[in-house]
Amino acid sequence: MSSRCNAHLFLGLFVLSTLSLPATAFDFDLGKIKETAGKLKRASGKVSQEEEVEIGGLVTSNLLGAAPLVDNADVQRYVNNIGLWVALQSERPDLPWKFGVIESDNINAFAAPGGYVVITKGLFLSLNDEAELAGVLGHEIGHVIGKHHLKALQKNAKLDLLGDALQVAARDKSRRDQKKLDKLINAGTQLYARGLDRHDEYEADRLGVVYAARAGYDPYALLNVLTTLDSINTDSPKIALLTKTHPPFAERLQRLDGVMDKHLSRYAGQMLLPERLAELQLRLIQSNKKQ
Amino acid sequence: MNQAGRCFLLWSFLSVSLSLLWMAGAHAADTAIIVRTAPLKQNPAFSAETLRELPPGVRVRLGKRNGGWRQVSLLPEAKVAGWVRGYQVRDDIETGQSPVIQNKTSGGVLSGLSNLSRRTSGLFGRREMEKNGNLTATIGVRGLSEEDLNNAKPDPQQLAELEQYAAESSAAKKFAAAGGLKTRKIKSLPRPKK
Repeated sequence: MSSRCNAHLFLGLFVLSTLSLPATAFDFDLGKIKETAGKLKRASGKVSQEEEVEIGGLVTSNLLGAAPLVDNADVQRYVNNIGLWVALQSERPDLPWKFGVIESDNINAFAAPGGYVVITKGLFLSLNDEAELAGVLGHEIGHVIGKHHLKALQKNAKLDLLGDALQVAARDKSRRDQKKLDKLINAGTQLYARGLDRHDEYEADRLGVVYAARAGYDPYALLNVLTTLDSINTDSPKIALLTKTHPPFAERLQRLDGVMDKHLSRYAGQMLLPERLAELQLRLIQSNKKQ
Repeated sequence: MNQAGRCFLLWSFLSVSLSLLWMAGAHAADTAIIVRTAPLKQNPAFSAETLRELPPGVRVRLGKRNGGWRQVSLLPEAKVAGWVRGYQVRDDIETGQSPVIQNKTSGGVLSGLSNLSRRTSGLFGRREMEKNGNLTATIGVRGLSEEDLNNAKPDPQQLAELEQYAAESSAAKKFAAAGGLKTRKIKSLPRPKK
């Protein structure tokens, strides 16, 4: 079957599953999960930072199973330096932030609860300067700060599962229910294929440009990225997932531009740092050639 | 040749290549293309008089930046000048092949680095990226499709590697300072009214 066929089939299944109960979209066997008062309390209540980080790590581990890190320590360290610098300007500077570039020519970036952010090699190589990287990472950091993935998981899983699976953070790891844990991880990864609510994306845009500007970068760099992405042929398989899971770039541009003009335009002349990014892009290309 | 000699040669090569890259970038940065319908404003303000409406595809010369605004003058004469929003205009990559949003056409071949505007499109131009999309199978680079995501299996070793690269905040601050980055106190953006 051609990949296009597969995509249509998937889309069909996706539509079917979203039309039915939301629970089935994640293939949760809710009926079998007994709701206890404790779990419910857990589920509707707060998730501790430790639990959040643990969930994020598990989901990220799965993502890395689909596309591993690029084998270039310089590039990974660079992205971690920039990412952390931007994250330090956020509302949660003390999260154990971790960043990575993954081996994929697709153009995309992902965030997971607790401070995990990865960006594809395809996107990394398409950026013009460090400010654009800061903008992209800032957007993903915005998802973590807004707890968008966590909330989506909580909402969709009706929390039973999350409540159960949250025992992952229990010291006694033998108490873990691996099956439920696996379901949670899969649900987390499937969020990347389904996408978040579009308002979460707009919020991540608004948060991201502010973090980038606070970090000393030109916040308009994110608009440049969106403009570049908008000019890529929509039929390109490299951008198919990104366009499917995000609101239209033009819509994001318009919304960002409207709100930024009033509040951030005076920071438009801040740093771009094209040379630092270009150096790392070169190294990445060179290390690819060696392999 | 001794080591110092080799070192010198390598550095010369690198600096020449880099300056070539810069020149390519600087050259291409002069001209740009309107990528979405843009009212040409007399001044960098929404309230300013609209001189005319620029359709996608119009070639312009770039001028100053002012907030989210970019000064442009219409080519070829560059007599008419005004301001558009920064995202309404894109640096020109290749003359004659405008990256107009509405067309959404791919194609165009980048023959080498000299043809590439780094400022416009990264070291891989957009077209280069699209072109390479067809090559992924042959060079063994994985994509990341919905299918890949849905069938993914955890890789704890990779996660451990990711965690190993995490930066210390002192290192991140140092790296930022080396680039001349300074923090600014900026309030969060307001939520838009519904």
